[in-house]
Parts: sequence; structure tokens; C-alpha cells
Amino acid sequence: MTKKMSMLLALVISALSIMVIAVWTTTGESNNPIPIALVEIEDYDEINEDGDKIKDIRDIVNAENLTYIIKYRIEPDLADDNQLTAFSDTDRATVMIDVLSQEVYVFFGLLDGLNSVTVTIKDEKTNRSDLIILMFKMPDEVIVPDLD
Amino acid sequence: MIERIKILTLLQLSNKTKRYSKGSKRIYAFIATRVLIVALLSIVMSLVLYFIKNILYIPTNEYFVIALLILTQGLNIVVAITGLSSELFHSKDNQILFSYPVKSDEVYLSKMIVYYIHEVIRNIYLIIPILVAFGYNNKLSFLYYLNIIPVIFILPLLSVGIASLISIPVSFARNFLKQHPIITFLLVIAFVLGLFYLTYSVVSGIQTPIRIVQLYNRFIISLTMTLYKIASVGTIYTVIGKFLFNIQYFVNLLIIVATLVVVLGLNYLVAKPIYFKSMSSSYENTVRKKQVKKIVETNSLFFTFFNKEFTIARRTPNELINNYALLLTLPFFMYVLNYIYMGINRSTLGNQFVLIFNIMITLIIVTASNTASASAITTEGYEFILIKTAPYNSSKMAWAKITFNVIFTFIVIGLSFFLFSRVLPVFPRKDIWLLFGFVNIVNFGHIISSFQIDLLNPKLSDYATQGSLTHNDNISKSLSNGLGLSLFFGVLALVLFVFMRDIAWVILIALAGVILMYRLIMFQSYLNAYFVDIEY
Repeated sequence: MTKKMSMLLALVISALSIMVIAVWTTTGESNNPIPIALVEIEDYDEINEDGDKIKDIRDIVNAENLTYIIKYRIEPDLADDNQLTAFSDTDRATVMIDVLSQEVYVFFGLLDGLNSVTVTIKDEKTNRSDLIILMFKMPDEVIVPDLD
Repeated sequence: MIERIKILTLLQLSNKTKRYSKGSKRIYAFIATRVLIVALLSIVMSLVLYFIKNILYIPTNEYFVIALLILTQGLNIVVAITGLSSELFHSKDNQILFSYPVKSDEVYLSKMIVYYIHEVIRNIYLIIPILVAFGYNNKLSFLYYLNIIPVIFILPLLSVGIASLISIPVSFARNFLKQHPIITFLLVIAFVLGLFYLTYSVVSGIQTPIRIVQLYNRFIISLTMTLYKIASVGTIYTVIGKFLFNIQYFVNLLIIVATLVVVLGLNYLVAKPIYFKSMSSSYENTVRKKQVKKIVETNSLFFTFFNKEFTIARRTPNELINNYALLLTLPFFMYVLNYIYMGINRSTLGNQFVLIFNIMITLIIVTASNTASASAITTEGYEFILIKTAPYNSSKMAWAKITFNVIFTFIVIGLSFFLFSRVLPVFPRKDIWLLFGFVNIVNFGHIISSFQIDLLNPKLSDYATQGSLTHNDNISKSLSNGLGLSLFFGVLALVLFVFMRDIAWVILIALAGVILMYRLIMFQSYLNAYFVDIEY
């Protein structure tokens, strides 16, 4: 038995105690079972022909800043958001949701060759969702090859 | 000059490394084993990265690796500063090396080279597995693996170069603090208080009621944001990371080479005028201005020994802090845990569990901090002979030591509970102070039982020859007893608080009081019977 082992034991018991109190002795994590009626991403530039929200993030995300934060809102305000999830269509961006501040964090890696990323926010309980396409190159931009 | 540095380096290396005779085949077995270890570590690291990506949901992209490089190398520099400052300024071989016809900066550079070689070997077991695992998981090109080879040699060169530069002022500061222990003590107190304030600020930012799953998500997001910020700070390690991933390859290579030249050049220029002066003033036999000593007289033998304990504590604050470091973590544990407990929507049973876990965790930490009592006689070492030959009842030293330990732990536990009651007013006041009383009674009993262990089997000659308490059985026994006591009272509290809430505190405190009385009587008997028989 050493001091380090005692310290480790204290840490393990502390972690276990939080789990025990949170799992077995709570009065319920959410006392409000109201289902989500609407999930909405409000900050976007335009809507395309398919009705998808589009946001140009060329000036926001670059080699110095590789994080983009999408703000969303739900209705009603106190609805049960425990099963709200967020995901993207590519593994070149990792998406995480913070329901406490109603934000979705999109973490990018190397940006070379990345044109767009579609992020979807979905409530697994009610299947209500909203999506946004984050663009690095806008669809109306035509690249003219240099013939010379 | 280069020839002299080479000889000095080989001299030190031969002293610190295992050598094989020429033509011995054992060297091939040695290399094969090491390659196998690196391969196994790479597989383990690959699984760890998979876990981080798919279970913890932290993105393991290029910037994650750059952040990991910065963190591991930052840690390497901190370790190297400690290692190098003792190698450069306090090593016993300095007296031999400086007796050779060499210049001081040549000794300095040779020591740097020796440390660098050890760092390269250490990095092989750390950096190669991380980078190979990352390359494998992300299916990177052959060029990436090729870039790992120069990076393995560049990283230790940088960390050793930076650490040896920093070790010069660090060594000056260490010498200064060694001569002014009170300042060291005050700095440690300020550091602990600062750390507590930081913990308080971070923890009080958590929204209540606490939602554990959402809190975990937020923690992972904050961790990822921090890693991204670290990677984008723009240090030389970010440049090395970009070089590794073939981003602006030649520009980054040039920046790396230029940085290495500057760091190594600075080392040479700084070492030339400063090193010898700094090294020669780092030893305990360095001639310094003598201080006038004031003799303190006491009327009782007990207070003479009691004063001695204070004098030792004042002269060796590092040892004091080392003995009670675990106890200093008590306010952190109490505050963070109880903030989380209080933030969860608990049932009545939950409230009882909060008290039960508080009892168990507080007792584990407090009883693990009584190792000074479990080695109180042992640490007298050779000097114990002098105490025994003196014409007085030297067994009073035992009570003086116990009193000092009880007072010191009482103050630290009291401060922890005071902070606890101030920063977490939502926790029932009555329970806080009942817990305080209970913990102090159990702690007093445990201090006496720990002292008794050392009284019955002191390791005086072991300590006198080794000068350290590593592998001391008495300390292990004291820690095991403390753990047993904590678990016993934890289980008892579980039964009492769940089934007999109204009389739970009364029974716990009464039982702790009975155990304390038993310990006191037993200890006095053992002291009367065995102290006189203790031999070196």
C-alpha cells in the first residue's frame, strides 16, 4: 500500500459515488417530459432549391480557426432535449452537441479538398430535425480553367 | 574541444549505460526486444486512439496529434528541467569532471549530450508509438512515416536545449529557496490557495441542477476546444507538426533548423560565463555568511522535543509538505465532490449517501496523511543513539511528535472544513461540523496507532544507511490500517444513516471516541514497555 494507491482509491470512490448518487438516488434528470415540437437552425445565408439551409463559412473557418459553432433553438423552450443528437455526412468533421447552451460544435481537420459539410440536428424521440450545409465553395461559383 | 567533449560524454555514458563486449550476440537480442516493445506499444496506442475517437468522440485528426506533441513535449521540458538542474548543478560527478583539464562549458555541453541521448531513447518509446498508430488509423502515406525519423531526433534536441537554458535560472531560484525555507513555505501555501480559487471558479461555473450526461458532453467539447487552441498557438511544435504532415514542407523545415541553431547557440553562449559560478555555489558546503543563532530554552522536556519538531518543520518545509501533500488535496476533494452532489436532484436516500461518501472519502485522505507518524522514530536514524544515551526520560519525544502531528493535521482539516462551509453554504452546517469532529477523533486514533507501528518495529539502521523511506513496511501498514478504518466506518455509516438516521452521528462519534481511548491506553502501555528496548 502506498500514498499513490490511497489517492487513486479516493479518486475511484469519488467517481463511483457520483455515479451512485446520479443513477440510484436522483428524483429524475428531467422533470419535464414535454416533447420537442420544433428544432430550428436560425443562422444561415440562403435556402437552396431542395429547401436546405446553406451557410458560407469560408471567412470563418480556416487554418487558424478550425471550429464552427451552429446555434439552434427548440420549441417549447423547456422541452425534453435529452435525446437531441447532431451528426455530419463526413468523417472529416466531428460534430458535438451542447444542449445546455443550445449549440452544435463542428471540429474540422485539414481543409484541403473539403467543399461542404452537412450537419443535421435530430431529436431521436420525436424524429424532428433540421439541417444546414456548411459551404467552403458556394454552388454558384464556377471555376474557369486557365487555358494558357 | 570536440575531442574533449567526446571523451567527457563517453565517460558519463559508460557510467550510466549497460555495455556489451565486442561481437556479443546479446546486443541483437537487446535490439529485437526493444523493437518488439515499440511495435506492441504502437498497437496499444492504435487501440487508445480508436477509443478516443469512437467512444469519447474526440476528433483524432492532425491537430489532435499536434496538440499531443505540444503536451508531451511540454511535460518533457518540465521533467528535463528538474533532471538537468540536478545533473548540471548538483551531480556528484561534477567534482570529478571539473578536476580534468577541461573548460566548464565543455562539461556543460557533454552533460547536455548525455541527457539528449537518454531523451531520444525515451522518445522512441513514446513518440514513435503515437505517430505510427495515428498514421495507421488514418491510412497516411509513406512520406509521413519517413518524416517521423527526423522528428524523433529533433524533439529531444529542442526539449533538452530549452530545458537546459531554463535550468540555469531555476537552479539559482532553488538555491535561493533552499536558503529561505519560509519563502518556500509561503509560496506553497499561496500556490495551494491559488489552485483552490481556480477550482472554485471552474466548478462554480457548472449550471445546476447538474445533468451528468450533458455535463460530460460539455467537458468533452471543452477538452476538444482546448486541444485545438493548444495546436493553433503557433509554437515551434505546431511547425514540427505541420512538417510531419507535409504542410509547407521546406518552409517549416527551415524554421525548425533556425530554431535549433538559436537554442543551441544560446546554450553555448549562456553556459560559457555562468555555468561554473552557478554550479560551484549549488553545494551544501558552499561557504556562506554565518548567521547568529539564538538559543531557545524551555522548562520542560516535552516542550524541548516539541520545539525541536517545529524547528525541523521550519528548516525542512519541503519534507513537511511532502508528508502532508495528500491532506492538502482534502479541500479540493470536498468542494468539487459536494458541489456535484448538491447539484444533482437527490432523493432523501441521496442525502444519506452524500454523508456516507463524505465520511469514507475524507477518512481515506486524512488517514493516508499520517505517514510521518508511522516513520517518526525511524527518521531519527543514527541520531536516535544520542537521544537514548541522554540522562532523561526520552520517551517524551513520542508524545511531542504525536502532539505536533495532531496539531498540524487538525489545522489543515479545520481549514478544509472552514473553506467547505464558506463556499458551499447549501450543505447542512450541522453535518459539516459533526463530520469535522468525527474525522478529527478518528484521525487522532490513527496517528497514535501509526506511531505504535513504528515504535514496535523501527527501521533505524535501514534509514541511516539508505537515507530514504522507500519500501518502508511501517508506512504501508499505517496506510492499510487507515484504509481499513475508512471502509469500516463507511460501511457502518451506510447502515446507520439508512436505518437509524437520528442516532447515526451519536453512534459514529461515540465509537470513534471508544477506539481513540483504547488506542491511547494501549500506546502508553507499549511506550512504557518497549521504548527503552529500541536499539539501533
